[in-house]
Amino acid sequence: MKPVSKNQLKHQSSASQLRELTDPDESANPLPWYITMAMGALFMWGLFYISHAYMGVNSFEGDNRTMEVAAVAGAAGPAIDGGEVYQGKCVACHQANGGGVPGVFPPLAGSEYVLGKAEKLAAIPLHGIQGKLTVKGATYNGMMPVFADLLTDAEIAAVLTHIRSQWGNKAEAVTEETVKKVREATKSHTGPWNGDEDLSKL
Amino acid sequence: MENTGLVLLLAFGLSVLGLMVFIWSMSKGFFGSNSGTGANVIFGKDEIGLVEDPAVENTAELQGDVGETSASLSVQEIKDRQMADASSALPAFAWITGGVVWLVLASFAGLISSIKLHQPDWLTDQAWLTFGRLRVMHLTGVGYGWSSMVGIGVALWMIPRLLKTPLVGAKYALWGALFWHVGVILGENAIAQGYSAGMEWLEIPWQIGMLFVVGGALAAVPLFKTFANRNVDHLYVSVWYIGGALIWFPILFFIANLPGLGSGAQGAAMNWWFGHNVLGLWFTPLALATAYYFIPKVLGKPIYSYNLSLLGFWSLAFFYSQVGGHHLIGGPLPSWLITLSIVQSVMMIIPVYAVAVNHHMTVGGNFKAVIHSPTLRFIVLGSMLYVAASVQGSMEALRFVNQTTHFTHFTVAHAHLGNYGFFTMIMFGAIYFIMPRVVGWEWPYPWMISAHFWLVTIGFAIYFIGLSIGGWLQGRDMLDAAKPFMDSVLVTIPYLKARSVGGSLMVLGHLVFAVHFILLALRYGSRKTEVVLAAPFIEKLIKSRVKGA
Repeated sequence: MKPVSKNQLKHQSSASQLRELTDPDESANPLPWYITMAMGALFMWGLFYISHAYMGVNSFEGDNRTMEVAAVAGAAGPAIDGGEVYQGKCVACHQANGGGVPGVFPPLAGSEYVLGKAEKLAAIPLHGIQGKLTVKGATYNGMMPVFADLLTDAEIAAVLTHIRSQWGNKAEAVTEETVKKVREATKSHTGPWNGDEDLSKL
Repeated sequence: MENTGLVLLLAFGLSVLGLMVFIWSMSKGFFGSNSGTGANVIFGKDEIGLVEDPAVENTAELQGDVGETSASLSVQEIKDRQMADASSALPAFAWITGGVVWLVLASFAGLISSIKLHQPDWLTDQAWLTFGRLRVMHLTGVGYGWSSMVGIGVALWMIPRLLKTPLVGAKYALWGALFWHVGVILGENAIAQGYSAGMEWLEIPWQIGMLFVVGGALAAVPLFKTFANRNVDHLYVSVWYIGGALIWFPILFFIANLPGLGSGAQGAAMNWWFGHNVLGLWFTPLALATAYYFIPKVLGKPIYSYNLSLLGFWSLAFFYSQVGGHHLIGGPLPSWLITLSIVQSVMMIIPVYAVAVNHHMTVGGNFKAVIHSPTLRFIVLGSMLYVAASVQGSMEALRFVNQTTHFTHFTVAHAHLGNYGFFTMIMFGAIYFIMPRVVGWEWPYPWMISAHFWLVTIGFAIYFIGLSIGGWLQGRDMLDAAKPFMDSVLVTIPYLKARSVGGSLMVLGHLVFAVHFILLALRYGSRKTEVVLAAPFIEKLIKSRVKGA
């Protein structure tokens, strides 16, 4: 086909179409040496990685796990996670940020009860509260349920330790022994604590 | 078991060796005429050197960037191309317009989801506006709505040009667009009402998903019919990518949607086999085909090396199908499967490096052209981010990096680097080139193209950098047993806000783009072209406006 100049075509096609040239094609340059080197290096790395990867004794254990790992994790019996107890039993009222709900559920963050004497704090989940209660200057009149039969001493200790270390709270850990002691000492008490009135006596 | 490792080692070594022998024999022409020398047959000697970009304001400036030329055109060349463009105008218009609609809708879904992560009490009254549904609607909208539709539209427009034959069977592609669009609408509605299949990238219930299989297959018909009638011997690299994508996607999507196939751990393996393949064997080849066409097209220079093109395509096809397992590192799947996927993920550096070098050597020395060519500006940025996203992906697959980044916002930032930085940027560039040919009108307001570019580029930079830092810190906090879980959430909040700021700029850019798109389709503005390539129905639609102008 005969090449023609742009002017000869102008009456047939738009200027923008005349600007356009033939569709692209490819030159036949060889692979640059650095591509070949990179391919070789990656291939060798692949061989190295596969030969050094831990394939597991048994496929059924899943990626990168062994029966030993699984057995150790189960046998040791993980320490009780106070945060998990909090998620299960407390978060609905006292909220994830420990702020409670103003006027309805008292906060735990900065609460004088949470930061105060460990024995007094331990008595609260063991028996619950009903009646007027003052926390951080605000008055509440709700009901805290009883956890004496729902949680073990270790679990109560864990969750109390948890709330004493969260949301800016800083107070020493509550031990299982302390909870056990309080449970014994308040065994004769029936029904929930009557808010400020009972708690101030503890 | 030692044998597992040995078998894997031998299989890997043999298959890579086989791949290299195959590519070498292709480049030597053992499979026919597609040899290195055959590659120059259709590129007339005196035709190399002229620049082209319909979206450009001043062609002389762009030509100045690559140097003066004495190149000229043949009458037949131009006639052929006009016929090619006329044959693909309507299906390309249908698919691309559908894509732009979903880009805007899905962007809003994404922005609202992003804001909800730091304003959780916002818009919670309606079930469909909750995060769990809206995020999925965003993903489905950008994946199946925007990316897939615009990708097919651009591919349909390129096919007749690449094969030098008018598109045969355009009506199949039009029907395909209808099926696909209905599929996205029904799918989004199902998700909004809570009917999700529950697997990432496969949330659309399979009963609706089958519309995509039909729509995608119908879109592939013109490719193969045109292919059978082609007037070229040499298949340009873009044709391989488009052909591969249009074959891979219907197969992948059909198998992944077969009801009852795989549950539990098997279901997870199948899910990520599909989830990662849809990125690498569907979106990636469509965008690479586009970049491979428009970079040399705009610059008027041939692609640097046919051998690199071969290496890039075949190693992508070879390595990609096995990388999905890296989403399940540490999961309940055999170690050998995960190890193989990690190795193949790292081997992906080969195709990425090959494409990067091929593009770089083609653009090399002409980088100034991105100042004047909007098409090139978007596509070069997209190609650079392709390299960044892919190398980052290979690194994230390594166990010691994955340990920190898995289950964090870092992964979300990475996903956007791939699908936005790479794929979407390239498609924007392609649309700026294609639409003037489809509609027969030039872009009315060039300042809107600049506004679009800077809004999405700056917005995306804020989005990506912010979310990557936030995600990394989140991962470090989650690994620290001494820290409560809430710390890993709280640490991300400033970065999530930065993401919303960046996202807002991106959405604004999309609105500028969509408005400009509509103005072009309706032929607003003063920049008119004499010859109109639009299909008759568009002609009719805008006739009154043209008369008035």
